[in-house]
Formats: sequence, structure tokens, C-alpha cells
Amino acid sequence: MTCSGENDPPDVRIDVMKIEENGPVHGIVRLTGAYRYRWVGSTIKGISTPGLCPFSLRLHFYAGTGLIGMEHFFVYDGDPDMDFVRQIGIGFDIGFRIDGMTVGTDAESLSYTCASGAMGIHQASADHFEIWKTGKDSFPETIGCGRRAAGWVHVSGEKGGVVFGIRRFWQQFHKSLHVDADAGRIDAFLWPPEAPTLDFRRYAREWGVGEDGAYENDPMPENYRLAAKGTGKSHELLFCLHEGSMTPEDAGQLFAIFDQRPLLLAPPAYYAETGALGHYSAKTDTGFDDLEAIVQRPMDYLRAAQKGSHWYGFIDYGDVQTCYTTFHRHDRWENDFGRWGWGNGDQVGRLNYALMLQFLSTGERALFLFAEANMRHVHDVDATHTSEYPFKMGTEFHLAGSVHRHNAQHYACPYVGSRGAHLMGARIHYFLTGSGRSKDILDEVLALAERLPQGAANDGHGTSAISFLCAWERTGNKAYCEKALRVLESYGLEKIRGGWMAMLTAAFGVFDAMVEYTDLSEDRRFVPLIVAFAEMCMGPDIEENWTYPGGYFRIYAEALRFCEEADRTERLLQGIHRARTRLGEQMASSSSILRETLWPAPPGESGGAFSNFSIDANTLRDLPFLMYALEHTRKDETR
Amino acid sequence: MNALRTGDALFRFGSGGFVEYAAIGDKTVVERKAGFRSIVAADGFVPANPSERFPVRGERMAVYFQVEHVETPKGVVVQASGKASDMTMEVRLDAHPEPDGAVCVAGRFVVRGKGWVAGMGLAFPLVLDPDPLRRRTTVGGERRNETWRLDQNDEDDSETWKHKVSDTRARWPLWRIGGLTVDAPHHYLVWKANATTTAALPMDQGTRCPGWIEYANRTAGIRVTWPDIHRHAPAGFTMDGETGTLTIWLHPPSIRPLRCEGEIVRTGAWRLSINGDQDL
Repeated sequence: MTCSGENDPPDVRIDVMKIEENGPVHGIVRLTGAYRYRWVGSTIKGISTPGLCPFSLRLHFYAGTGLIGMEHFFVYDGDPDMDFVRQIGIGFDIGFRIDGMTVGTDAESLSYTCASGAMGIHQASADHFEIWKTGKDSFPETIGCGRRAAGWVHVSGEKGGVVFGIRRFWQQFHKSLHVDADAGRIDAFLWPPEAPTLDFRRYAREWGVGEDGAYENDPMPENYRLAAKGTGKSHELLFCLHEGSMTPEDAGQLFAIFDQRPLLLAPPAYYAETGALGHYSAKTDTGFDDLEAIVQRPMDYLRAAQKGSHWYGFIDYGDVQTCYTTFHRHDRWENDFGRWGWGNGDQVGRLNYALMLQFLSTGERALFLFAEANMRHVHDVDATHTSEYPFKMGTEFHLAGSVHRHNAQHYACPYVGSRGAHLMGARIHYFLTGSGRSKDILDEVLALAERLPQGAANDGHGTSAISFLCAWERTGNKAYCEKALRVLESYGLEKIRGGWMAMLTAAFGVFDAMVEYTDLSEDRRFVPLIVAFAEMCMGPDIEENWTYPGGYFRIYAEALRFCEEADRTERLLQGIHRARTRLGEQMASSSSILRETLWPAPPGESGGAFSNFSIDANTLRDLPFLMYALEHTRKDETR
Repeated sequence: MNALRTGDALFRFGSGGFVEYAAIGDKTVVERKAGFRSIVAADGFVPANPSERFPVRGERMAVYFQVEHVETPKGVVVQASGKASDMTMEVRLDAHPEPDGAVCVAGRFVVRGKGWVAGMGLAFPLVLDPDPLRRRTTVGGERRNETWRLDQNDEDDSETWKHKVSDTRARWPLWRIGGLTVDAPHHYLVWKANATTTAALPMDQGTRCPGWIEYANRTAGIRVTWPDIHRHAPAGFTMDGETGTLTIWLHPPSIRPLRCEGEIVRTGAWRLSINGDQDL
């Protein structure tokens, strides 16, 4: 780091080294500790542990191979105005002199000989990498460049070779890989020395510029400039040591598999039929073509937007923005006002849940990579992982696991709550991949739920209840089920009157938790409430509300599934019919938006084609549940 | 004092380095303030650790310039030379009028010696409108243009400002500084920032941009165009809406310092257009 302009190199303090898995094929060693600095964080008043930036490192070993996989996660626990990340990297002395280096690029692999000195590849943006070389005592000169590096380097020498690289390399720029021929050393830089310092400063010195709860003309409350304290970032790396048997082509193929992440998948119908993720309909000939398109097309749009709007980089990769030319007329995403901009944690319980579910329903690999990046980004960067947050939410400073709301930046909104830490995406990812980082996310959010069951902002009941149900699933310990029930009881569900309040339970996870609890236990206490909520969510008042119909489909779906009275079922079906009709009208008026020929928006057409584009992630998440309920109700609506 | 007249526009050159006054009719667009230095090139840089391969931290060196103007049949030539620590710099700027009223400038910056160059550019002291809402900067991107004003009621009249749809108490952030950075031949970034002490917000990125920036007051404005800017990467523009400084960067300061061991030559050719019928 650099602190107030001075270099502040760390010591590495390892607190715990643990064999996490010791199988016949796969072993995992996990190290946890902190980078210990002299000055980092020392300018923040009232912090008891300045200078410590926690990290974890998992090392994966595979029997009979030279493969070493790594999962690295670090927490930035500094003062964003004073402490800047200069470089983060992992390196090895490999024990022999390096003769040559091959670099994987987007088009081919490029080979260089190393007579002496050092070489490296630096991905400086999503569209540019450079390859540099130095003599023994000279400064780097660029010897090659291109657009998107593959993210690996293969080095060879008299005793063998090493392939090493960083997953999602160009997407998460800046990144670099260094080779020092004379010293026989290789380094993988997660934030490289070639880059400017990594900057976590707030986007504005003024206050009341769109942040949640900020008042016009108020001065900025003390320490709110430090909102990024505790943000984190995870990476995956691969090292493969060999005795000279691998060619650069082998290296490229090996790394491509790692970069895409191998997955063992069952057919989509299997996941849906188990009911483990609720009662949803997989995309396997449901007969609801209109609803399937409404789920799929906005996801296609967002993936195109990521590509077209360059939502890449160390800090940004994985997140999506929320409003396009909705409130002003500049033909762009509205990321320069605090209220809108990046989706951050307000998306994760809806959009990420929907993305992961849709991947399970389609098996579409690109969707998985998009969903995975989104999930990791929210729980890494949009979250705070510090035990000493610089300002309180409610009465709390220990907010680790809580997530910031939407904002011009990922961490500048003063709201930091567990509502945004909804973990359905991480839960699906964990059971699909066994990822150590996903496991840590589940553990961190569970610890948050144990500490603050209602969330620091008193809106985290949904996240906490789901977290306890997930812990029950992971451990078999029924005590977690009881904890989930207690959180739900503390929400005051029986006091809810009106569709708006009922809708909020669905938007932020409480309703999901009620349904999951009901499905998994033999306790039917919530069934009358589920049906009553749906009835509150129908009628002229709510059907004229701006949240209608997008916020209500899960409530309708589950009520339909649980309702056993014919006349109430009939009323539900009529309400669902009205909601589907309204949704169809909305989408029809958005049909131009969904024409790919207009992605991304051409200049000057905002008044017409892109007048009001925003994606209701509630709808994307909930329609698969509605399809299931309609499919399985005895009084099936005409498809 | 040397001057170029192009149609209704007048450009004057002075001891500060380059264009010190520009006007169209009775509307002044550029006017030098005391102490303003046009050539901000050769801001030398002494790294804290001289052996660092990629220094980001160092000490900025003062640069002193001598400027001379020569009138030629075609236009005006500005020659400047300066010195900073162990480095010297020579700048030559050839300016001539174009038939369409623009001034075309060809620039050549030469740095000699041993050290690091943190930034190299050519600055213009613009006249700012007293009303911040009328200080409008626009940068061209690949698919769209980015515009911002120095006012918290940017965009629309505050009465119809729809950003207040969810929170009536909030204002627009002040975007005091912004610009274009072409950091590589196939990548550019349009950005804006609240202050020099805040992180910049990326507004647009792509592989190829048209290479222009425009500043406009209520009734007059200036546009600087750098054709084929990607061929000159790293390059860019910045506009500071509080100080009124528009800068063309031949080596942007946001890019890592440039190592000089012998000689570095940077060239560029720009069109300066001023107009007096802005409609804001």
C-alpha cells in the first residue's frame, strides 16, 4: 500500500493454517491471517486494530499432478482518502533459471526467449494488454501488445516448466504476470505495479448527492467519506509445475478449462424436480413461451450491456447498472447520480437469484459465468468485511457481511445492511461448485445473522432466515431451523396489512423464507398468511401501484400452490390473469427495447426506443415459480 | 504579440506559451490569467525509489520555459524551450488558419536527458460563464457523447428534475473535472470527477473515439479536435470547470510516468474551433 504518499509494505501474519480437506484425490489447505502494515488505517479515529488487512488463501492440491489451485481473498481495511493499494501479488522462486516465456493472448500464444532480465504481461484495460521486457539493469520496454490476454504464462528452463495464471484475467484488469529469468521467479499480480494505485476514494466531497438517507445541504457526517473501508476482492489462480512435458498448447488448453470452471451438471429438470430450491419450473417445454421470454431476454440484454458498456475491471466486473435513460436524456446508463447507478446489494436477492436459477434451468454456460461474477462481486466488493466499520448502522459497527445499496460507486452509499447480502445465489453456486469463496460467503452471512438477526438496518430478516435455513441444509442441525422460525416471527408478519407491505416481504427474502420453511418443516403456520398476502396483493389499489405486477408473482405463485379452497383459488387465478395481462402490455410497449438490433442504444434515439428501460429483477426471479404453480394447479389457466 | 484571424475569430499568442486570447466577434472564449502557463509539458518526476520498474510516487520538478513567436507567411510558429533537473525540453507549435474558420496546430515536443516524464500537454485558459449551469463540457465517444455542467441542477430545470422521483432531498453531484483518456490504441475512457481528491467515475469506454472535447458558455464555445487520436496513445484531454483550464495531453498524467533515456518525441495535430452561437 501507499499511505499518505509513503510506501507501506506489509508483513504477512498467518493466524490459522488448517487442512480443510484431506481426500485421496483432492486436498485443501486454508491459511487465514492479515497483511500487517505500519500506517494503513491509522488515520481513522477510534479503530482498535489499524494496520491489519485480513486475507484468506486456499491451496488446492490434486493427487498425481503438479497442479496447485489458489483462492485468495483480501480485505481493504484502510482509509480510502489516505491508503492506496500499490500492488497485490503471489510469487514463487521456482528454483531454476528461466530460458523462455510463452504468453496466451486472445488470438494465439506468443513466445519469447529470456536471455536475462525480466518480462511480463500487463492487462491495462478490457481492451489492451502489453508485453514488456527489461535487460538486466534497464527499464521496461514494450515488445508486444494486443486486446485481451488469455491470462496465463508458461515458463520453461533446464529443470522443467510452470504454467501460471489468474482466472478472468482481462475481465478484472488491472492484472499482470511477471517472470524474472535470472532469479528464477514468477509473480502473479492481482493488482500490478504497472497500474496506477488502486483508488477507493468516495465519488463526491459533497453530501446529499443521491445517497440513501442523505439530506440536501447537510454537511457530510463524520467518517462517511470512509464508506469503502472493509471492501474485499477474491481471485482464483492456477499454477501447474511440470518436468518439461507440457507444450504451450497444452498450457493454453489447461488454463482455458480452469478459466471456464469445469462443472458437473445434471439435466435442468433434475434440479427442478428435487424441490431443493423451491417449486419452480425449469425451461423444459413449460408451454409458457411468453413468460420464458420475459425471463430470458432481459438477461440477454444485461450480458450485452456488460459487453457494450465495458462493465469490467477489478472493482466493477460482475455488477450491472440499473437505469438506462430513464430519468434524463443522455442515452446512457445513469451511473452519475447516487440514487441509481450500480445495482450493488439491492440486486443480489433478486437478479442474482434469478440468474443462478435460470442457469440451472437452461444449462447455458455464459449465463453461469455472468451469474458467478455478479455473485462474487456483490459479496466481495459491494460488501464490507471489517469488524470495525467507521460509522454505525443502527447501533452497530461490526457489519461484516453486510452490503451497500445501489450507488454511483459500489461502496459509497451509507446504507450497509444484510438485506443486500441475500445469499441464494451464493448458495446455488456453492452446491454446484464447492467453491471455497462461496462457502466463506455463506459462513460470513450466517455469522452476521447470528450477530444481528434483524440486520443492522432492521431489514435483514429475509437474509437471516434464508441463511439459517441454508445452515440447516449444510449441517443437518435442526437448531438452525428454529432460528429461522424465530427470525420470521420477529418480523411481525401477522401485522402486515396491504399489498405494499406484503410485496416488500417478497422483494427482500422474508416471503421466500416463509415458503422454504413451510416446505421443509411440517409446520403449516404460515400457510394462511401466504394465501392472505396474495389476496392483499390484488385489487384496484395495488394494481395501480408502480410496483405492479413485477413485485407480486412469487406471492401469487405460492398462494396458488398452497390454497386448497376452490373459490379462493379461482380468485387467485383471476388475479394472476390480470397480472399476466398487464405484464404482457408492459413488455409489448418495451418490444423495441428487446430488439437486439438496438443493443446498445444508438445516439439520439433515447426519446423513442429506449424511453424507459429498467429491468425488474423481481419478475425474472419469480416467474419460474408462477409457471410451476400454474402448471400444477388443478384449475390451470389457459396457457 | 502575434495574432491569427480566421473569419470572425481572433487568436492571439503571448509569453505564457501559446494561445492567450481568443474571441469571436465580441465574445471572449480564451483569456490568460496572471501566472498561467500554456505548456505544461515536461513536468519531470523523480521516483522515490529510482530502481522501481514502475514508479507511481515521486517528486515533481519545476520546469522553466522561454517562449518565442515567429510570424510566417502561413501563420505563427511558437517555439519554447525549458529545463527541469537533468532533462531539457523543446516545443514547436505551428499554427495556421483554415478556410472553415478553425486554427490548425501542429505540435512537436522533444524531451532529452534521463528521468521520468509525468505529464506533457498544452493548456488553454478559458473564460468561464459566471452561471455554473452554463459551463458545459462535452466529449465525443464511440456511440454517444458525454456532457456535464458544473451545477447541481444539471440536466433539466430543477422543477422537472426526475432524479428526485425517489428522494426529493438529493442534488446532483458536482462534476468539476472531466475528460478523455486514450490509454492505448484500442481503448479510450471518458471520465468525470467531483474534485482532484476524489475517484474519477468512468462514463464511457470503447475501442475507438472521434477525439474531441468542447467547452461552451452561454453564447460561445471552443472545440479541440485531435484527428486519429488513437494513433497517438497515450493521449487525451481534460477540462477543469472551476479553473477554466482545458488541456490537450500528449502524455496524460493519469498514465504511468514515461521513462526517458536519451530522447522522447511526441507529436500531434489539433484543430481549434470557436463559435459564437451556442444555444444553451
